[in-house]
Amino acid sequence: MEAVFFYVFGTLAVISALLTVTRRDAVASAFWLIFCFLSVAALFALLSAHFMAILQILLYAGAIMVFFLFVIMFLGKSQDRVKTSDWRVVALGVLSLIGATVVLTRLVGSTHAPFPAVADSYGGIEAVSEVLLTKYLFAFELTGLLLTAAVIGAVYLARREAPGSRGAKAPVVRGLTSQAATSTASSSAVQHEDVPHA
Amino acid sequence: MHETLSNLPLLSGLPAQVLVVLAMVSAGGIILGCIAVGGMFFIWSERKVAGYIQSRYGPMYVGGWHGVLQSLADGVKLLLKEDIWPEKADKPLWRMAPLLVFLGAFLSFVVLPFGPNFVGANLDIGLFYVMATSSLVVMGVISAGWGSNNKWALYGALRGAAQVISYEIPLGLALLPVVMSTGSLNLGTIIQAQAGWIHNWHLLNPLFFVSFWIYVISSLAEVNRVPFDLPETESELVSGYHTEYTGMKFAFFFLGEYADMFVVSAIGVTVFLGGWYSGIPALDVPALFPLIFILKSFFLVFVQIWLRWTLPRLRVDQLMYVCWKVFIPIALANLLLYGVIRTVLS
Amino acid sequence: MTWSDASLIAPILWVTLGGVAVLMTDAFWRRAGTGHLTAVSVVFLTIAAIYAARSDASGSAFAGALAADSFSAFFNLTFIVVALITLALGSSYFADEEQPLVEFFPLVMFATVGMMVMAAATDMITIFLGLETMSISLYVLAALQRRSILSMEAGFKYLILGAFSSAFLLYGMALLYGSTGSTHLPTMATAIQGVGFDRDLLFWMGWGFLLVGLGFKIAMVPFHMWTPDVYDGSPAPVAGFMAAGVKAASFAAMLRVVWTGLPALGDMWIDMLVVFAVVTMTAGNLIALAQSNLKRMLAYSAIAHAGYLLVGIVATTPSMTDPAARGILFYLMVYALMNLGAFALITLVSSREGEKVDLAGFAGLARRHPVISACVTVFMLSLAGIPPTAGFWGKVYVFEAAVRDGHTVLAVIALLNSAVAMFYYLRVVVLMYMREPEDEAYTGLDPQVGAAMVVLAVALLWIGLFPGPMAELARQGVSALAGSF
Repeated sequence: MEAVFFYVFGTLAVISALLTVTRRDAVASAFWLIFCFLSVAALFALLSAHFMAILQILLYAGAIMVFFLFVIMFLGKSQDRVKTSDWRVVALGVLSLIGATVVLTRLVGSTHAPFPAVADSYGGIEAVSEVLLTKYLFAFELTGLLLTAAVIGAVYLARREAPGSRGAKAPVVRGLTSQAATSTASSSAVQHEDVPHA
Repeated sequence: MHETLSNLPLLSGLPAQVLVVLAMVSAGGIILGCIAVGGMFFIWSERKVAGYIQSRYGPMYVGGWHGVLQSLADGVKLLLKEDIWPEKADKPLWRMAPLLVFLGAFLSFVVLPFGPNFVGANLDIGLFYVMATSSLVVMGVISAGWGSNNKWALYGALRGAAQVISYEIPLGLALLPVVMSTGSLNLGTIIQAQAGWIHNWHLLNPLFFVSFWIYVISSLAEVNRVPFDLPETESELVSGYHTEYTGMKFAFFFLGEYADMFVVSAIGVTVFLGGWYSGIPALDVPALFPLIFILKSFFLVFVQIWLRWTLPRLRVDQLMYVCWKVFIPIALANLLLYGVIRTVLS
Repeated sequence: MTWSDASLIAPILWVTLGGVAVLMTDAFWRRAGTGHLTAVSVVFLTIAAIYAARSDASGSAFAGALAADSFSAFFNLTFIVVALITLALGSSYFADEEQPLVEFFPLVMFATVGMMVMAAATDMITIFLGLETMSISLYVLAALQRRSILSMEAGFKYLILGAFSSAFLLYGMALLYGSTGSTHLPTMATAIQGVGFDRDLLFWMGWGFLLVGLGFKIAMVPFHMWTPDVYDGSPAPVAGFMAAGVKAASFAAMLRVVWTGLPALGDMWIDMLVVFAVVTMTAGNLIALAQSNLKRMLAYSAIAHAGYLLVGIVATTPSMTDPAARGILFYLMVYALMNLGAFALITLVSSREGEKVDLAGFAGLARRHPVISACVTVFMLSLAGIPPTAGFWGKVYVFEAAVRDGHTVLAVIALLNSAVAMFYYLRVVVLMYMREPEDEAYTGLDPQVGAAMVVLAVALLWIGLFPGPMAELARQGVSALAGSF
């Protein structure tokens, strides 16, 4: 029974991942990616890592992809069709796929690691939190610091400049986004010159 | 559940795999029935409460007593309505949206503990699971807004998604002190911690008092109810993200919304209001558990309806202000305070 | 967590506290200017420095997540010095703006914490988190001047490429974990003692990815492309901080991995590293020759120096008991000081209208500001590796070790490269002293930055004349790892 579910969700994950990269419509890609995440969450659940499965849904399918979609929707529909017909890109992709397949098939079973058998509680929330707050306590706390730094940065970069300050009329940030939105074709959007102050 | 099925005389000969599938299907059917019947009941009660608040009767004729079958009649009407497809809609997304919204509510029902042995799936991480399923609703709302190819719908969807994601944070933070206290995310375990007399309910524990109010208010925003109904403000956005939907698809949105109301109420009951316990040990007999649980949840649903017909709605910026600058700091401080008190006491 | 865990990482905790304190000061004290924030930061950094210098306790903290030993103490001191000088440069630089860029202070503190964690980490997870803490702070620091499109470009490029390289690093770590069964470096080392790892594909792919990820941070060719643009666009104090701190931190993490985690198989990948070292220093030096922009020139010089440092790693692998390992630590410290000095010059001559980075603009500086010019001369001589400056000894230690380890050809190539490099470093000196000033005089030079330059120049000369104490400090730093070989 478990094997059946594994192959079903595994296949779904692979197919939706393929659809994610082949769809031309960015929104469709995003939704296929969500579907892929959900399938992966199901795989986690099959591995009795229930906590990871829920996290996968809550964080990736829920929060992160919503922000992806926000960005796509704010940028508008007209630009989001990506040109994919360049044969070199496709050839490169196929080559990498073959290479990765060869390497991965060789990798499977080439490990020498003495992995011990896991306990029944493995992957449950109690086991995860136990490890997180004892063995990996430092990493856990450091992640908090990392996120603090990221929040400071995000708030700083996204903040509107105070009215009346120099350059408030022509914030560079807005200039960049509008450039990126209008000229995806000419990728040299950023020129090496200072923006004139208002 | 499939063990129960295998005990039935008619099914005892079937192989286990078939029974598992059968169990899944029948469980799904039961939940679906609950949502449909419950949803119709809530819609009816919403209209009756609205009528009472506005000093009028509301539906009176269909079904005899006080128009109890009005929702059923409306349901039939919705089924018979023409299914209008916007020409420029993004068809797959547009069709998927009502299903996703409904699925989110449906999946949450699986873990709701109506009684010690009356729960679809007794997950260790039930509370966490409910939070995760609500993200499916967000996806449905977004795909409705984008798929409709309608500016009102898109506005509604963006507002809805931003609102639900933002309010998920104070909601989760408000639940955490209780989780810390019971040491479990299992809904049944959380209820069992409130057994006995009514003072054992978490609501009456001064440490969880702030949590309860943050939870109740945030849950209103989580299900897009007044005063946080910005995603579907009829005076600004026609009808928000489901502007373009008619017939059965609209019915799915509608049902999903009312099912979500019940889910957040049921979680509120589970975490703060003693779940299936009545608060009087003498009344706590297993047969009454589902009834008590459902009655309490109905009460919270009633509060939501009551608020809808009483309060004006917020502006978008006020909505975000309340979440990020009021609730999250308060919830964080509350969590910290609880942690400190707990550490000191132990 | 126990009290002993906390006391072992006291310097890290103090710097973290300092970052939070600076953040709170800014948030709740509206009239706090950059001066106040600098003062708060300096107080906490000083406390951290005292703890770092006095720490004689050593051991493993937080269940093997990181180690407090003389190696981490050495790097803690290095990073605190780097942070202090960066703050000295930045406090006036960012006060210039009408809106003071107060985010500079907490971000520098947090980046410093990330660096300190990288140097102390004995677990791959900790290394990665330290690296990310440092990097995320730096992405924002690079883009700190929101009105300058160059600064935004720097931040954006750094972010995109940095995220890409982090993914490589993480993949590498995951594969190494899959291969060895642990993320804890000493445990990995024990696992690798077993048979068959020389043919373990998983292991080698993991190590390769790890090298790519770290190579990006140390600006190793061919993963160096971001360096010139990011250094050029970033505000000068930030660029100095990057050049000095990121390089030292990434090398520290690399040394931990190489010396503690993977010593057994050193002879198998050392040839690869030789190639990288040669390519890195040659490419860096040759391209630097053609630069007319001081910041870009320093960026390519940073790439070249990464090459020299790789020579050091080659020289101390696989026979890591070699006392010459101290050369790398010595070099990193000295390199940090001289680079900060060079970027201090840019900070000094920058004005509201933008940074003055054109080499020709420095013509005749000596006539107007003899002291500053003298300091710059020391920095350039040191970067070029000419006695009696500290840079000379750094090169001597590293190259000598290479020769002794049998990598004579590599050492000769490195020497030739140093000769090439002399040209572009000395060009700055020649311009300052032997040309007539073309430009208007630099007025209103900031005394704080000038003082920092003088301090740096004196320190470099001092170390150049008496390299003994610093070399001894570096030797002690290495000795902590020598035990684990």
